[in-house]
Amino acid sequence: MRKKLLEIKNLTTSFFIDDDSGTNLSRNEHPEGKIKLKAVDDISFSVYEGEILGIAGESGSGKTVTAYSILRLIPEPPGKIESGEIIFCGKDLLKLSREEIAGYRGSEISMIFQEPSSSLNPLLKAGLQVSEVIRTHFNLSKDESYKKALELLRETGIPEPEKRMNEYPYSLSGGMQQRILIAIALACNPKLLIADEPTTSLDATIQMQILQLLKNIKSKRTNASIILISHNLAMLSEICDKIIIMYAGKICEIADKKTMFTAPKHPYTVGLLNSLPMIDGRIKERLNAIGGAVPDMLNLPQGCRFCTRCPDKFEKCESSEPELIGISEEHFVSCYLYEK
Amino acid sequence: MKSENIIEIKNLSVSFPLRKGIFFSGDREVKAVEDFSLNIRRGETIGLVGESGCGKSTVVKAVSNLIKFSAPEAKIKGQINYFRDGCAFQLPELKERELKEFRKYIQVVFQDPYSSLNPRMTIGRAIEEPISNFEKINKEEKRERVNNLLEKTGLRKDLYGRYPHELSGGQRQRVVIARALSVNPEVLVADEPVSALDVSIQAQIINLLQDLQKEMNLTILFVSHDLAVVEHISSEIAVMYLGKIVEMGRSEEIFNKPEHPYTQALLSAIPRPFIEGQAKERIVLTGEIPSPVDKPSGCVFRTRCFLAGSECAEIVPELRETTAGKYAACIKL
Amino acid sequence: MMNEANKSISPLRKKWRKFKSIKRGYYSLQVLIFCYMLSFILPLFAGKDALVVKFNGQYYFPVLKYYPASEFGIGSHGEANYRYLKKEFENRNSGDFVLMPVYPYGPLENLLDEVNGVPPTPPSAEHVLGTDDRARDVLSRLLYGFNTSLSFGIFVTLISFLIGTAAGAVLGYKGGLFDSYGQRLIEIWSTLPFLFIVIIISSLFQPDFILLSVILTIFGWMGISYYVRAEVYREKSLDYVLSSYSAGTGITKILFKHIIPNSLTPVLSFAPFAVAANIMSLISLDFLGFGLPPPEPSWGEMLSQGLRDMSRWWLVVFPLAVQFLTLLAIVFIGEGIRKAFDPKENSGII
Repeated sequence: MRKKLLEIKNLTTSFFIDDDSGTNLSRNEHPEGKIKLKAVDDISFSVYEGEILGIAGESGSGKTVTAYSILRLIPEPPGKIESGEIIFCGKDLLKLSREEIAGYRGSEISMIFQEPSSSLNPLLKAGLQVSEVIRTHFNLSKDESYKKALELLRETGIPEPEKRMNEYPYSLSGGMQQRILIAIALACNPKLLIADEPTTSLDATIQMQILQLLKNIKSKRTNASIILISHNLAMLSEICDKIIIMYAGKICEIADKKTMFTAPKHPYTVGLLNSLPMIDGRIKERLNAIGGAVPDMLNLPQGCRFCTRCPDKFEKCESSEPELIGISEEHFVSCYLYEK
Repeated sequence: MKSENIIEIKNLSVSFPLRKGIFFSGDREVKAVEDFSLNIRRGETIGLVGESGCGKSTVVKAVSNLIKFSAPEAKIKGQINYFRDGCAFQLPELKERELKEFRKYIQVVFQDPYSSLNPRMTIGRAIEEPISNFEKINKEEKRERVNNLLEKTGLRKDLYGRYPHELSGGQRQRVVIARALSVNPEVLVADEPVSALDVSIQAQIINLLQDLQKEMNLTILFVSHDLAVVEHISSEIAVMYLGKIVEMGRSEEIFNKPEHPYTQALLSAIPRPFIEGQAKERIVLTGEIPSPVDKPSGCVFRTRCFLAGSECAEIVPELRETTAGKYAACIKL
Repeated sequence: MMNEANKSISPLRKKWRKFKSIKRGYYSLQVLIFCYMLSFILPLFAGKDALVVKFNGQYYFPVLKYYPASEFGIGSHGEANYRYLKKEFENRNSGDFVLMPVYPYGPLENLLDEVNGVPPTPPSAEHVLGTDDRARDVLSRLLYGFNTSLSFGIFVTLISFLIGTAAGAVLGYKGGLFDSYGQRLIEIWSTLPFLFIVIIISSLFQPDFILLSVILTIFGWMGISYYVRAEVYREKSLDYVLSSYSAGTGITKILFKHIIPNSLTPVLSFAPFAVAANIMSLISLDFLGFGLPPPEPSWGEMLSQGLRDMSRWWLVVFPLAVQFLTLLAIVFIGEGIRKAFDPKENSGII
């Protein structure tokens, strides 16, 4: 029986932004003339030990905000984690003090961000940035942390690591920079690694290298879990065990990789897969695009958030939001088509 | 029935000098595009695919005569023949007025829908601008034309007076396409038109381009790093690496029988949704993409190539025809 | 995709709305504009010329036209003194009257005969803020000086920004060697010693409003050029410029219609602070004696009188107070504009 490493229950994270539009939407009004945008609305899911979980979604889906919420990196103001629980190894991270949660960052849970070039300090040598993390969390001498940093660079597949340690970020390619960031993230043997669009800004062949690296890391550190966030559903299918699909702040579907691609249930998932130019190794003749666009988060439809674009909608969908229900042990959907 | 060529690119080379000190020292330059030759047939969609530094954006600018504007110090060699109404012409021969007419013939759609529109201009005005440059028609007629274009690209007519910041990425890209089509061009060059968009919107824009092509008999040069998208939309594909074409041919053949090791690696790098029982043998290339400033000698791909041998460092492979209509540049084939 | 029901707001209008929501800046702007407009009709409220005079059945408007003293029979030479005339009419009780502005003292008139004691005199009932060392009324001079100072600040800022923006735009657009040489020239120009040249010019010519404006412009246009140059550099590389060019738009049109309007953020953000700085420059020059010549009502000159002998505190405190309030209002406006243009504030979510 696998252990749950992270359990998120009913998480809601909102942002209070200026009402520039001119109309005051009385639904979500807040004093001081700001309106509330629920970037993540009452979501729940779990991550097991040793699992690679993928969170897929388009812009505005709330996937990045979810990741930031876990480590409480949401700037307050304008954001606020309004409610919910994030249970990590038995402790609710949302109830910890600022100092306590800071202690988790980088050591128990670490994160890699989307733009490797802006995640590294351009003024410090690459090796120094890795060893700095090591020295902060463990009390090692300069030499010892240097050696450990070198090891990490080797683990992340950087060729000629001794040379790279002394180079500045600007002289490293995107792929190399991302490896350095992964090394920094792994420095303290985290139990959970969160990667937010780690390959989006990289070329296709480099992307493949980084995915391979993540696979290798996983096989070496068997109890560690990875949360991988991307808009590229196909990319997630390469290495994830389980995938969550998010749309406009809510979870549409949770399923393991095979089910997600062979028997998806939620119309959005089906639509996404239909939009991909390639499936089953073949190039399609014509794409079945999902019509319409992601809804305005300040003006969400009354019922299911996807109903304005859903080809299978019926009356109930427009008036109330469906709950996330389990249709098998590891498969969850929030859609009235599957309500018992 | 083979349609005739509309653009013939012959041995195009574009290099950008790297400045050292106040004066151009001349010895260091970036050869962004080297010896590039491609025939584009009327009414077809040609795909140009490659990763960063391959020079595809430079080809876009060269074909649409935008290099002098964006990089006046660039050196361009080679020849591009354009065909219109049965006559051939080349850019250096054209006079000032004719160069302006050239803008009606070929239009470009760029990648970033956010910086492709002037934030202070309503989208109606933005679409009107090309029309105003060439025709003196009154306001109502212009508005009528813009409304038609909005409809054609799937936008609501009431968006005429909106500003770009009020539109989504997909809508903006539609505006950009509408603007490009406002002068009825014969050729549309699309430089990564869907890369900055969400997946579900990408599909919409791809369908839109295909529909517009049929409707207006457009010739499209579609440039992208996403091989799956390029395969889907193009009839012919050229694969580029560090300024050179490494493989070229009909898209089904490139997809099913890639010959050049780079093409094979690119295909292998396309993330695949789970397929039951398929042995996923991925070609993972070693090393990084070399900088265009410091290209490897001989075959530029040899530093990452799994077929490379010692002779690859000495000989520059030529693009040879391997089977009918298929070309590859590799001495190991 | 915004709410469909709304009217479309241009980016500029959005920023204006944001500016309006910053009360401090918006109210300062309203107050300043009101006072400035009022300062053009100041003679109606404060001055030595009567608004209306009824004399022997005829109506006169001295605020609009000059009348000699002989016109009203109160003297043989010089201009009529309407305060004296008013007292005269009141004594005579003949149906003639004089209507004076609320504060009946002008900025330039020497009030030696009318003042008790040796000038400069401290504040009193008649002269609310006292008089200066030439027996001129302080309040009147401060009020008239407001128009001069603010006009100077605005005028110099306008001209120097125009020149600076043009220079910056040309350099940014052309780029390359032209830009390198141009920037070096600007840097060399910036090394000109301001004070020396002002002193020299002041001693050779009698400086007036225009000459001082020219001098300050010559030394001040460079500042904004750097910012505009940077903005133009950035804007010209954006895709919409390339698209416009490939749509057949000519280069001049691209510059004026696309690039420059989008490069004006620093111009708008810095303008209030430039106005404040130019006002300060004028005050400083006046203080040193190189500015506007007497008898111009200038705050700086009054300040220099006061600081010579601090026992005449009204010549220090009141000019400083008006300076402070005016510059404070301008700074609030500048702060409001900056907040409205601040990209971080406008983005909302991460």
